[in-house]
Amino acid sequence: MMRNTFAVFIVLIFVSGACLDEPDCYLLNNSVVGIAFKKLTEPNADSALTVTALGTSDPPLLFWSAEFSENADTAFSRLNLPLHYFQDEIVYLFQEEDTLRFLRLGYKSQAQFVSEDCGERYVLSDLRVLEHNFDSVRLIVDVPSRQSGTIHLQIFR
Amino acid sequence: MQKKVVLFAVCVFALLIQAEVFAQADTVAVDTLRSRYVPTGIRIGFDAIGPIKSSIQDDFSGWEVQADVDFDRYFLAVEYGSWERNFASDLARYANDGRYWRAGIDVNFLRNDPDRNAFTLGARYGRSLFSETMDISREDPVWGTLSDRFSQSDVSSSWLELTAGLRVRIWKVLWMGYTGRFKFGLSTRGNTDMLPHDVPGYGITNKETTWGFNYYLMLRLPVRNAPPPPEKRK
Repeated sequence: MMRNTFAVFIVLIFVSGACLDEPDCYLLNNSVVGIAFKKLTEPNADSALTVTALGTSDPPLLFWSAEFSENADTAFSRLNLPLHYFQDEIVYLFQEEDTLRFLRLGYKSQAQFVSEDCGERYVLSDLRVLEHNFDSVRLIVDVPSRQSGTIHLQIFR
Repeated sequence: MQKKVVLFAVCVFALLIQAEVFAQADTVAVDTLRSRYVPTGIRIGFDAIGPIKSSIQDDFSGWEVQADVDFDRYFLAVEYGSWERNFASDLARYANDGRYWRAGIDVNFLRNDPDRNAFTLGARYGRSLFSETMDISREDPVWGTLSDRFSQSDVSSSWLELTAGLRVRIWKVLWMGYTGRFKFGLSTRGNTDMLPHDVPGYGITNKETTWGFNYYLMLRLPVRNAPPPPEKRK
């Protein structure tokens, strides 16, 4: 009886050790926001926004510029943009031919240690539209994604 | 939430005792039944894994003590402990430090053992109060070099556990045993800029549920002579 009890103790200790596993380091941050451009008169169809430059104001970064791009197509119907996970808001700038459009987004960013191999990750949530100079902006999904594909905002012009 | 859980545990305990009384009312005298629910001893002990883990692992330091008292086949169990974690790499440094307690009920399914050895199933409510810090430095392809220090104190977490355990009398008042724990329902308050990576008493938080294991060495202090175990039904 006692020998069997000891055997059960030993087996369970090994089983508990074998259940430990390491997390995957791939795509840890959910910091991508997807934008679809639409016309107020045709809300069901995507509509391209023609820009000459695209970037952020703080930090001042140029994501894309027609001047430096080999691709002649300057019209975007959908965009996937990165959120700055060290901040709680970001301003995107869209330079059209004669108008500078901006979109200020707010969000909550929380850091979490993952492992010694992966470092930390950032969990973003509570995405909000704070300010803009488009005709209308509609929030569809308020949790940013880990990769492109999801549309979080619809921008109407 | 905490009050509801305690109330729920008390109700379950009362129902289990009531069911036991009604089930055997036709064969056992009421006085004997009542005396069976008076505790026969208090068992106190410590987790042997904590000190061993602390001595062989650089990133962990912790201890845990436990006590239980019997009410016939039911045990009221309480555990209290402390743990610290320190993880460091080129990417990030993380440290936490906190205290925790768990309280709950075990039900013994080895009723007729002459040594009062016990195989138990039970439940726990756990609560932890801790602080944590994280220093990071990373090179982001879009945002450049980023570095910061996150710190938060007085973070509290609570969770639930389903437990299975064995208690074996080794010699006179010396006992040993283990408790396996299935932990779930973690909720955390007081955190703002950080999400906890590791909650003292609970463990790593990267999944909805987790497992735990304690191996206890205990002393049982008898307070009265135990009544004889119930006879097997024919």
